[in-house]
Amino acid sequence: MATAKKGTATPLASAFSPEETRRAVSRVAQAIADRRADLARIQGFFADNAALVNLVQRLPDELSHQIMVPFGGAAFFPGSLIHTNELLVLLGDGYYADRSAKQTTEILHRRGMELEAQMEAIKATISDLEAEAKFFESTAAEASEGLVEIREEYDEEDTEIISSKTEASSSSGGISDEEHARMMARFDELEMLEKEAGSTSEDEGDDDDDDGDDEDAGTSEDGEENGETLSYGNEHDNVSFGASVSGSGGNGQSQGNAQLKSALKKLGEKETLQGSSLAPSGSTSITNSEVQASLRKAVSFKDENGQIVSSSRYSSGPKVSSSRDRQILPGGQKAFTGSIVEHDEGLSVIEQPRSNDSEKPASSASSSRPMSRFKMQKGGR
Amino acid sequence: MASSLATAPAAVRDMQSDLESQANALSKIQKDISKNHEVRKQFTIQVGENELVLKELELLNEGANVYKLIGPVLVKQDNAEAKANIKKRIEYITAELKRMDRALKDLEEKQNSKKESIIKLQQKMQAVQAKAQA
Repeated sequence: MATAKKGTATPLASAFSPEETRRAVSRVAQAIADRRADLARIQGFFADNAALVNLVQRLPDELSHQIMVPFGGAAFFPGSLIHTNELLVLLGDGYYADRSAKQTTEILHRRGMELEAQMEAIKATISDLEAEAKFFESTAAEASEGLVEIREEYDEEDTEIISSKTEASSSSGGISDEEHARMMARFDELEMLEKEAGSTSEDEGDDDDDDGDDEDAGTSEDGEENGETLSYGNEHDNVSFGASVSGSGGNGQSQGNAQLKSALKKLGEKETLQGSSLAPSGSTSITNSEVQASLRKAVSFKDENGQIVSSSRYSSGPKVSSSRDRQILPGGQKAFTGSIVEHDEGLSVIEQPRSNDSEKPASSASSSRPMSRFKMQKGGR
Repeated sequence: MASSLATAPAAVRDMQSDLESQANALSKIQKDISKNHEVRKQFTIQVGENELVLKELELLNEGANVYKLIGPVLVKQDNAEAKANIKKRIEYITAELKRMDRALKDLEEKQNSKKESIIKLQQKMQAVQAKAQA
């Protein structure tokens, strides 16, 4: 098998020893139990708070209440509560305020909201920890079942060979004529756009058109050779060309024309190259020239990403390439699919930090939400 | 253990004592770190509480009576004064928290370097012992 040649197969049990995974599981379980205890405590506070709100709301209903006053630990005296609408409320940290019953209930409601927020936070951490525990458990189970982790180095050479093969089959079908027609149509559209932008002259459009002819004739033959290597960089090309064009657009028209021409020439080359590997050809040139057109209008526009630029641009232009832009992605993925699916790098990246996480829950969880001191006191009573 | 000690040369014994002292230092650092965690937790709680108090004080109207519990007595305080006090306290605690963060980082660095040196020492000792036994 090819995998044996270029990949490594390690049993999971060797990477995560059973005892260690079990320890991690128990540690996470402990953390969850701690959180649950916290949650229960805060729920107790919340219930107390609700009861207190209830009491405070009822107190001013009467001018005085007949009560039994606790006297010492064992004895009670009959007595009465007066001034039922005057409360001294502990705000926290030794500060008290005179409040009416109504104002007090407002304060208590605010506290209840705070408690609710804390409960939500704890619930969120619990669900996080539970997910983690599940992960550890499944890892432990897999390790004990003797699952094997297969890692393969991502090898660009191989995929290039594959993609070049597919390209060869597709590109040999004589795209160039069809390609050319499409490209011409696009250049015409571009011209239209530029005219719409209003700041371009007639001859510039002609120049662009001529370039289209030249480059197409020149590149159709070397497209097959370079196609496979360049098909990887297409997205980057998009970006960099967008950038260079934006610079030229920013400068005056006369200078911009020359740069545009050269840029277009290059773009055209890329275009045919891309055409060999991606189904929709010429997407690069379209997006970039869209940028050009936009730059005529909004000179200060700077793009870091050709894709975004073109999509944002479409408010003014017709929907020429909005569909094509989208096609870039499936086309680009086509070249990769075979290798990316098997490629395991992402998995290992996830797993490694995860295994370190086993130490974290205790510390990270403990700092999640501080508990107010007076609330604790309140709950203790 | 005793036999290995007996056969080991003096250098190994030195190393062992060295290792012991290093381990002690490490455990001390770890204790400091956990203490730091504890104190920090308390401070964060206090900050939260003070912020709550400040929020409530902001909501009080001007004429409201505010008291501060000092020891066994409630001392009446001006609302504005109380607010200023709380603000100052929050400031102080946050500054303290920052200081503790720095201290914690320091301690962790120390801990890591200590761990490394201990591991190195252990390796050296094992090498020496293996040689002695060979």
